[in-house]
Amino acid sequence: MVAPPFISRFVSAVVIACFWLSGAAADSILFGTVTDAITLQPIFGAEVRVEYGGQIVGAGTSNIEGRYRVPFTIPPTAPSVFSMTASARSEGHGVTRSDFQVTDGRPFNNTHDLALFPTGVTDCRSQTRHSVIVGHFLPPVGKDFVDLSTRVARSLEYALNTRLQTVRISLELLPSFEPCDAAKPRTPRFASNFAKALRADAFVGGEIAALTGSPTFTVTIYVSDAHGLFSVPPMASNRSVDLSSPSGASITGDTYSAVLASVAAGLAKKNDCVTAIAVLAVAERLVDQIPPYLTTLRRTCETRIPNAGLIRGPTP
Amino acid sequence: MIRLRVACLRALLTLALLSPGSVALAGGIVSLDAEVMRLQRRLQDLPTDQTVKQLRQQILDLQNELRRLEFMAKYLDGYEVDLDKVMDLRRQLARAQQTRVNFQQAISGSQRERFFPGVRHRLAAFTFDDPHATGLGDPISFLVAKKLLFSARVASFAIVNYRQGADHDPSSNLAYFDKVDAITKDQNFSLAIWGRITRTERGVRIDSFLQVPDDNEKSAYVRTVGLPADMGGGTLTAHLKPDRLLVQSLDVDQDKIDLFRTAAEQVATLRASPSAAAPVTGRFSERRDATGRIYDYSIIGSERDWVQLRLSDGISGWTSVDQFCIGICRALLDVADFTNDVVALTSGLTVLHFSYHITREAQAMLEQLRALVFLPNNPNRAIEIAERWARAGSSRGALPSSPGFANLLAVARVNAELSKPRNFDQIRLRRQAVDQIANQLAEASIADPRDTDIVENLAVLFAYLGDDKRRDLALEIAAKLKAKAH
Repeated sequence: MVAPPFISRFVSAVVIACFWLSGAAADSILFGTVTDAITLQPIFGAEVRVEYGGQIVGAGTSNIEGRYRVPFTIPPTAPSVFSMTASARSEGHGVTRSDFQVTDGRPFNNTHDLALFPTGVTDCRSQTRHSVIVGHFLPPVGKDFVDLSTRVARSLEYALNTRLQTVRISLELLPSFEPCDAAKPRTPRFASNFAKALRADAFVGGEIAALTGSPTFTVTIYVSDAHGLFSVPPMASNRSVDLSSPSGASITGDTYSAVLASVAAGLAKKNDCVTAIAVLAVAERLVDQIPPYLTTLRRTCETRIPNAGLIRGPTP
Repeated sequence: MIRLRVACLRALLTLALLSPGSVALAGGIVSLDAEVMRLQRRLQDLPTDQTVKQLRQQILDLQNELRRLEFMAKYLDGYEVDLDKVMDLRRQLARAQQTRVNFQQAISGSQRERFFPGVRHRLAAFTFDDPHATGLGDPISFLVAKKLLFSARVASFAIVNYRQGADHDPSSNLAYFDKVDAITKDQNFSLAIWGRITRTERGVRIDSFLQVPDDNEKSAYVRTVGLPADMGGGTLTAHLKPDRLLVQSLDVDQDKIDLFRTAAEQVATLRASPSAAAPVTGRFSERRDATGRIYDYSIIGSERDWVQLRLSDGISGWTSVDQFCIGICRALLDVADFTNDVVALTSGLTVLHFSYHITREAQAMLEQLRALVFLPNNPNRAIEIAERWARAGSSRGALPSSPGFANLLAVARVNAELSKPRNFDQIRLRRQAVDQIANQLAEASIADPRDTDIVENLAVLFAYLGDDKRRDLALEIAAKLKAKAH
């Protein structure tokens, strides 16, 4: 049960007023900037609170540049080094909480920045080592396909994890495919910000177009990555898709390949080029013509594996 | 959302709605939702390393606690609970009781006893997953299993049918090949097959997979070549690789789907003689005795593509898969023919079926197995097969088996040189020839840097060439790969 925004705001204002009216003298000040985790733009008017042991000990709001300054009191029982919690909320965004350390009555770091996720997206942050977020598919006017991201995620999971298991990618390195219908990038280019902010390797989204005089649709799927692999997100279209079928939308080999390349790039970034090459080998088999991004990534990885030393130098 | 609570407290709930945030204690009503969530978490966190008895008890405890919460919300003043969540958790617990405990039983049970311990070729067949509820899971699993059994080409052969699929279930985060390995652990099956049926735009797709289980000793899928003492006496190894693959992806149009159901019905019908027109004597599908055990049956005769069966309750009759599974259904049977050919090859028999509707990777696997069989006594034949497939795949892996073929080719070439008539222990191959083999193998090691056979073979070849630096590097990589695998 969530209180309506106006009640929340009212309560917040009362809390802040009570805090100042109580005459408590501020012991320290927390500074920072509140930004949108996806657009990276500053958020104006975000409510920022400092809490300790469940009690609010300071509150303030961010200015037009997203900057905030929150004076707070330090409870007399607190040790010399301890953690406090800063939280921020704003309309259209979920609450973000993060701890900061206080040493000898002052925040250990001078600034404590807070990034807010659009409402509904906060819970989509990935908890696994490698993941792919399947976001919103923009429907035609008057239509709604809210479960399409779930269907596409399930379809990707089966198709790709079975293939990755054929080359014995271990369970902890298998990507998870997580639907997040609340993630609605304005453009495919923007989707890489979602991938980065949600700690995923890739973001998959798309658009659905109705076909005149037909019960079927054209579904366009794009893949954006968090590692700078794609300057332009690869896209693939499927025509005559029956979205009433539980299989959802057909997914092309190009889409599979782009998703796997993103996962491989994530592995390479974590210095696991040995596994990345195995993932790339699977991706290469899913396309008729190997795209340049796969070739480039493979070449980069091949120079970074110890096996490269086995082909170097003439045999004595 | 349906909420369960004592109605007279509605006024207090109104007050609760005005308080900010979601709290457990609101205006005198205690919400039990957090308790339900706690039970949910406990269900998700049930440790997997327990006995079936412990697991069953823990699920029972959770069910009892859930009942207590429901009772409080129903009959005690001041408590409420989200009934949707309660119902959902109740369903999950019931499912967990069935699948999780069964899953554990499959694993722990298999540690106690092996199915058909005296049989040489033992296969595990899983029910095809049917996530889109096409209703084809059972008929397709039945047809494939019966075709496998009725067309087996080796004398000592058994199939263990698992009444579960390889898809995710609430009992485990394992799925697909990994799940099959977990379930068949310690059974030492020579092969396992499983599959999945999904709806497509035009009908359904039937994917069939085959794997050599992890616990298999794999002797049927590996060959070694020992080097002469004068060459250092090392051993070169070639395993079948990969050993997990998609055998077939069969698209079936909507109007052909019933062919599978009809065929399964017909195959389950026993007849008085080997003819579709003969009188029916009984059925052998899913017949259970008073204790719930499925009746055993044995094959007591055969004629053309018909087999005569005798059930353990005395009923006998004739049936045939090939007679009734025709058209697109016949294409599905290629999965069974392929599997039977794999089994036959490991028994020293030849491949019978070349016109499979199977994937290219499945064709490559069968060819690699043929080359492996030829490797010890006819290395030139092995070279011929491996060269063709290594070329087809290119050095950088257009086929999953390409590095495997490259390795097999290297081992076969060395064996071909060693097979020339001379005093074995005094053989020293030309350094130039070995150098060339080693460099090509090193290329394959880049294409698949996780292949332990390749780096260990390279260590042996580099040692013979006196290239200590690369030998040490190969040994180091092999040691790391083995450590990681364990």
